[in-house]
Amino acid sequence: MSLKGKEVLIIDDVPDVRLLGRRILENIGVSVIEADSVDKAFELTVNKSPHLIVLDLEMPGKPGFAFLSARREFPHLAQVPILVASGLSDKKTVFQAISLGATDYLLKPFSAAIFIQKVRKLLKDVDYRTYKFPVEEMPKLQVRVSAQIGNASGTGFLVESPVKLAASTRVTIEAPLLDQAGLGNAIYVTDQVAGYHGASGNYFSTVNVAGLDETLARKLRKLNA
Amino acid sequence: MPKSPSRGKPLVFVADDDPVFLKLAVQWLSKFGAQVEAFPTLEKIQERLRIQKPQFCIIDVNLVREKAGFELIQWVRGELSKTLPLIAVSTDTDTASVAHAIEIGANDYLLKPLNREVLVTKLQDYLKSDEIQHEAQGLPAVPETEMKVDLVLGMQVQEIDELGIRVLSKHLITKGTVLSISGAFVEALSGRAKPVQVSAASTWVESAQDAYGAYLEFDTLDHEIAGQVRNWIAGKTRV
Repeated sequence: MSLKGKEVLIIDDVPDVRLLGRRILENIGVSVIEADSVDKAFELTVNKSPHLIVLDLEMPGKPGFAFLSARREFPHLAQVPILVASGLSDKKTVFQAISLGATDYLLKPFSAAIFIQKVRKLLKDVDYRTYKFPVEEMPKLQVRVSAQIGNASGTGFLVESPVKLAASTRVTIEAPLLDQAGLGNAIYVTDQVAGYHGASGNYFSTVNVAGLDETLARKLRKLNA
Repeated sequence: MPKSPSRGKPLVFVADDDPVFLKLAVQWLSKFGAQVEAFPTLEKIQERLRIQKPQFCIIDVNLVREKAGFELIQWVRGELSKTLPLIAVSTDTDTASVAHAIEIGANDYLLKPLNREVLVTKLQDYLKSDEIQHEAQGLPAVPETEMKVDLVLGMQVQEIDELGIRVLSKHLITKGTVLSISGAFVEALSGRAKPVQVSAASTWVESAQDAYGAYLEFDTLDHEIAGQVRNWIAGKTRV
């Protein structure tokens, strides 16, 4: 299982406990953020979004229970599993924590091995967050890929690239040499016969210059020289 | 290259072990005026291709054996012809196979269940391009006097997760290709004007949109981006 990019928030008022937790977790490739109080935790999660929260119960000010009950009002926190780590071992406390939505309960002091085991198990059940755009809101993306051009003719040239270009489609081609040749602002359109598969594993597509006039044609022919 | 028996009647080969598909394809293509030959196995069509090349070839990706169609495509491209139009056929649930077939040299694809309009349109398109190629004396070889350029292609973001982006594109990107992405969306995501490096981890066909899909993975050494994306997504759900 990959823990790459997974982030854990440790909420505990004791700096040594936070430091110990950080050491153990960073050792297995998990990144850690810390909060020393419930209020600080809410403040932090405004723009941080951990995959798992390790929560202490006994803290000055608001107790860990306050975090458990209040987080339900925050949709981005409601889904995050919570591992309660506490020195309180009475059944009533454990039951209360679980009924308020804690995913698991770890008794302090804990060994590194058990802590890792619990964290791994909980992180395994957490998917990487995904956001799917509604069709009408899909953002535009500019994708840049290296290519080579050659075989310039009076109307266009041949492009070799790892992309099978769609036929009869406008593409943007950028190169300092094209600018120098006075072709920087030309409009390029792929040919009807595009995307021929070559032995190199690359594709060859003929690209034509749209709105070709005598001046542009002359510039194009010069490219070969 | 041997020409078809009569210029007016294009020769089409269809290779598929599904008798229903073969029957339909033969029926529709014949009605359209093509001379059709059907082959139920890889060996049979190879034998025939060694003797004569058709104008157009339809190949099932899972010809008898799973993925045997890939072997056929590679064999044709490697030993027979770089230009013979090859159309890969697969079921509409296996769109990644189709993208792979195109990556290794197929020109286009058809999805089962077969649609008559689509089949005939593709045939017309490729017969037309066949004529263009004949006029142009075949396709050009490797470019001479090469010049390095950047292609800038427009794509649309379908979905994003902490490890990468799912995009919709008119163009098919070869798996493994390293790309850089930019634009207003990337800036909003990363908070930087710099482009972000990604590589194409998988590709498939989005038949409903007549486009290709690709999953572009973030650079694993770019530790920052996963966290930035996670926060961006959390911000979306926080509203």
